[in-house]
Amino acid sequence: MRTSLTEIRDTELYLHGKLDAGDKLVFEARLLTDPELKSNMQFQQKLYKLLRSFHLKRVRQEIAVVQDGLFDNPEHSAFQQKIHSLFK
Amino acid sequence: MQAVCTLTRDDTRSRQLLFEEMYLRVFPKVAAFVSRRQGTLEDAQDVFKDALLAFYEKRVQPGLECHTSEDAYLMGIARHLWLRKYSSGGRSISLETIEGKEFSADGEPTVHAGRILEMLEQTGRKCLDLLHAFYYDQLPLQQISKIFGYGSEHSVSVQKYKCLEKLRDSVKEKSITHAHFID
Repeated sequence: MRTSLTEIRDTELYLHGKLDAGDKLVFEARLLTDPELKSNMQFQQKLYKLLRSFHLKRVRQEIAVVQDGLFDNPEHSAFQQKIHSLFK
Repeated sequence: MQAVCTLTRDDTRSRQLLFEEMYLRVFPKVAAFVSRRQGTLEDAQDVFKDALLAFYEKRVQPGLECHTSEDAYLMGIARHLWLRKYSSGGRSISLETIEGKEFSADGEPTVHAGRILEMLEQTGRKCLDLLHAFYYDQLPLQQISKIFGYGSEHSVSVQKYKCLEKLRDSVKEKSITHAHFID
């Protein structure tokens, strides 16, 4: 792998707490002396948060699909009647 | 009912079964609660969708404290969301709002997460899907290589880091060029 990808891999291991003690010390020393590495690490961390948002967006869509199924599928007519009777 | 604190597998099918089960068991109680407070069926559905998402997030957290009654726990979340949402004049507490707060928690200048995510979805969808398959669906590399059309598991590993690099650089660029999104 090219150097930039190795750096991404090391950053991931660091952010996920998977570097051993020695490698962690070396990585942290590099962070102190290499502003670009530090900046890249911060944006990589933001990317993981965005991935989590992306995942939650998907889960939200899955919930909507389940809801539509329960309210549209005749198989759940007893459930539908029970709910609709609450809002008459 | 015995408490189950984690999903055996956090994949689409397992989630679907969990959501259906919780809908059938708990939604009638939430609907009755909302109805008694002059809410509509749509209000109840909106609140329950948010509650179910919050419930799911708790379920997948490592080291989660067990709740003796999951039904009561989900009902409690829904009740809380209803009171917050409708006792303050209909103020929305959408997912985006909740996520925005989380993004601000790192103490850095924060770019509006929802807007940036939309941009990534437009320009880096394949990479988002691949990383999602890896981190969240936790599919085996062999399966990922089949789904995304890569020749080998090694190619998938390399592609994963290439995608991280591509999307990280997009986040960086968008954070700089769209500084007006900074909260």
